Amino acid sequence: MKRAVVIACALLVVGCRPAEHPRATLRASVLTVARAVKEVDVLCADSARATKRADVAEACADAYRTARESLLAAEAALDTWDASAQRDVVCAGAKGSRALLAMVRAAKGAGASLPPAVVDGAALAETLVGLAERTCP
Amino acid sequence: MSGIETAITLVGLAVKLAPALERIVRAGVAADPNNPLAARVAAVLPPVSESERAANDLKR
Repeated sequence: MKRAVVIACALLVVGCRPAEHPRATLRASVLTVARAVKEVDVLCADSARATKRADVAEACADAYRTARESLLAAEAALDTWDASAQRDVVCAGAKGSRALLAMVRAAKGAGASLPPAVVDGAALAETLVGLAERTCP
Repeated sequence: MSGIETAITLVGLAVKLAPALERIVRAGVAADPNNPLAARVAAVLPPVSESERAANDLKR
């Protein structure tokens, strides 16, 4: 039993070293941002309907299209994962992240309160955007 | 059947069933929408957003 606990703890520690697994870390980040986009999209739609604000819905719909295209591109680059693809992942992920942050601003502006998954996704998005500032043109 | 024979039979069964059990577990994991290893962006984000539907409804 003790040995099993020690092995489980060791696996956890190994699994929590993202620098050694950049592709897995980036893939999880892209998916986290995608899930946040999905959640905030529903929030936007509900808030726009409740307040009858087509401008909010349109702003979110535009940002959603950008986020979706960028995150699909980031995922394709993740699947390739050669030297140039690694930079593409960060740049496309950051573009999708900026779109998520735009959706978050629109939803908050329409009075929506953000669930934890969106808050976490937005925090991760800000990190990706910061990373891209040093990496992307 | 003695205890030892029962244990040997059970171990033999477990060995025979292991590949099938592994396939079942893998299929379950792959089908789990919360599993980050199985999910794809296209599965999370459909082409048409809820916001777009809302915008279209509000413009009518």
